[in-house]
Amino acid sequence: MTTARPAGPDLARMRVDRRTKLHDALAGQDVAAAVLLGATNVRWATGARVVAADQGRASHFRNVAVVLNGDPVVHLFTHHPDGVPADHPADHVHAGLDVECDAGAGALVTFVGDRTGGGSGGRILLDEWTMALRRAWTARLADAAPGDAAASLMSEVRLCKTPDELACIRTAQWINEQAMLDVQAALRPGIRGVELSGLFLRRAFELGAHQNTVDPIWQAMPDSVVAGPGSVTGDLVFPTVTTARALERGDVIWVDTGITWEGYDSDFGRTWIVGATPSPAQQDQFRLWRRVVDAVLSVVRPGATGGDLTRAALVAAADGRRPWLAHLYLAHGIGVDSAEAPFIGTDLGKEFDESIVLTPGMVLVLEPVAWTDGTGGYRAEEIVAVTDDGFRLLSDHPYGPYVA
Amino acid sequence: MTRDEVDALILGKEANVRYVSGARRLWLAGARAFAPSCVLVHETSDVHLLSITDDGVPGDIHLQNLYPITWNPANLLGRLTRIPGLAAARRIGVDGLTPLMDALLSATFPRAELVDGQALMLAARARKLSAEVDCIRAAIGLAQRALAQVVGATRPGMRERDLLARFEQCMADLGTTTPAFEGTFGHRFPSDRVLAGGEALVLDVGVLVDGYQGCLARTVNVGEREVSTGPADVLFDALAAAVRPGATGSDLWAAWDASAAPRPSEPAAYGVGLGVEPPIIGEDVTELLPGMTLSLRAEVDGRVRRDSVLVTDTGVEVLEEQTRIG
Repeated sequence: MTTARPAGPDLARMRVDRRTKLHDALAGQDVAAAVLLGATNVRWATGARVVAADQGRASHFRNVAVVLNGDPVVHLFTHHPDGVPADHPADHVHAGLDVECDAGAGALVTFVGDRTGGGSGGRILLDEWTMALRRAWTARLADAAPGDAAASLMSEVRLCKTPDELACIRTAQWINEQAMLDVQAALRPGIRGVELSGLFLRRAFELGAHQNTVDPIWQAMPDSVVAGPGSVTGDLVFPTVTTARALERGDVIWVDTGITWEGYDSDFGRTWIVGATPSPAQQDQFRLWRRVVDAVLSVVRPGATGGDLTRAALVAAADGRRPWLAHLYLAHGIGVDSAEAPFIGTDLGKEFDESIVLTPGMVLVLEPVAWTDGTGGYRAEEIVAVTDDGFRLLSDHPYGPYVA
Repeated sequence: MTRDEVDALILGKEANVRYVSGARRLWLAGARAFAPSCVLVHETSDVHLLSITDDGVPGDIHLQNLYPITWNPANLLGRLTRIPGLAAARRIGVDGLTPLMDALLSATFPRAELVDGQALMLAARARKLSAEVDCIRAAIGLAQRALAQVVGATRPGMRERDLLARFEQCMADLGTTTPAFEGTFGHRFPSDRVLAGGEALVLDVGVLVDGYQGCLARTVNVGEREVSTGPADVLFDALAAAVRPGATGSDLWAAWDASAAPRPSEPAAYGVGLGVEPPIIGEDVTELLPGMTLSLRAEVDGRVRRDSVLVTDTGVEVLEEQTRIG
């Protein structure tokens, strides 16, 4: 079921829209500057790429953004000049700083101090510390100790996506889905999890993925919680890390992967069965999952709350249990982070869920689970964007071997 | 911890978590905000780990020392206060912070001062145990085999991204699905550009095997099976010859400058172990010590060679399973 590549976004327009949002949010506040170290915050604010790397490497070679209130252009410090959008003014692109080290952290604090009257020109917001930055900041900008306002500011401006951002998510998801057609075709008894990962990564990069975001997951699920990996909470364990173990006929595989394209993430979830068709019990699990997803989708529209979604899921499951993983959520947002606000159905509780009001442009990944202890379960993910009058799906992938 | 008078460490960086716990957890690309992922209490020597399962967790960390992921800071901090010995700690080392976590930890452990646990961890990690050197060697071997397969398959008419795609598949087929960094194949962001026969192409790759980094770079002429690193080999040997206990970044730069090649835009050397570590040359002036492992990168006339070396008691050993690729 190869589908046509979706229409692309206007990336330059998307960057302008994001910068405008950011500056509008800052303009109303007594804020001199926002200093951004968070990888996805900087990505969102600048559109600049970095080489995907493990956390230890990435933290040394990260991009840093400094947003000065009143300056429409973001200052970008980067080790990856070839990843900077061509329309970013050259006088706002600076050599990369290693803010894990004293020299780089000191240079950043000097830059910020020089442009904010040493911190006397209003609050300075910061999203993350490195220990070196905290040392340099405390020594020289002690009067401008940042609170957690940068995190909430960025969460707010990132929450509702523009049509160009939705197009990025759809393209990322399309790459992920197309790659999965080839992976599922290769699924057979004897193949190892790492081989599925290799095939997936190869196809995703051939199709244009900018980076892989999460080590691909192909977890062979047990029939019951006690038959699975040891659980701290007594609840079902997912995900576990992929190994070289060979898959066996009849294994039920919960698939979860994500790649990035133009800064935006995909999130693919499906359940497969190795070399077999679903039993009647397994097909029932899929039907239950479908019923929960349809019930949730039926209430997705502007003005609905997170609580409306969890209630719809609970009613559809009809057994009093929450049809999602207890340690995770019914739904999460997606954008430049593969899981970002809003989070619905977490241990933040019902009141928190009620405080989430859907608005057009929000994107949710629905990931309910239909689980019957003793016969196992079904899990898949759908991505849905809230529109002016309802919703639009950004995921589009078959459910085989389950019969939809 | 004794030297730095640190009573407990609260760690969020994956490399530190792995160093302390040995646990294999889900790999995610990129830098992430600090969150308390692992706690080590000096008095009890107990390791506590953020994990919902003991799958991938060494047997010496008991299930009751694992704490599940939570979205609710109150639940997380409440769980941390129940870790024996943590509430009594006067100095808690952290390897990063967010303003929110700074406030939460300070409020939850009001008697404790939050100090730099990252410097402590990097100091502990700098000189490798021989078992760690073996891990790095194994990772390099895997990267070499995967890169050799890509070199053997490279043909004019392929796109840069096709080489990245092949490398990732080879890496996974050889048993590891996590890169140390997504590789350079011509460009640092491999593109749709089609390769021409005979062009010089830089291939710079890194993998993580059991968390340890194996990385190398070679230069090939597209369509030829042999690597053609040329003058970069000479510079690499000069850099390696400058590595010895007591040497600093200036010694490496002196060796580089003697070659008359212009200095590169990338660091000429950085520490490797559980990913990238200081010293990063060149800003760093740290003196090299026996047991440190470095990735050295030589670049001359667009030809690049990267390999890793071990600082020995008397000099240097190039960490390689084989010397030729292709």
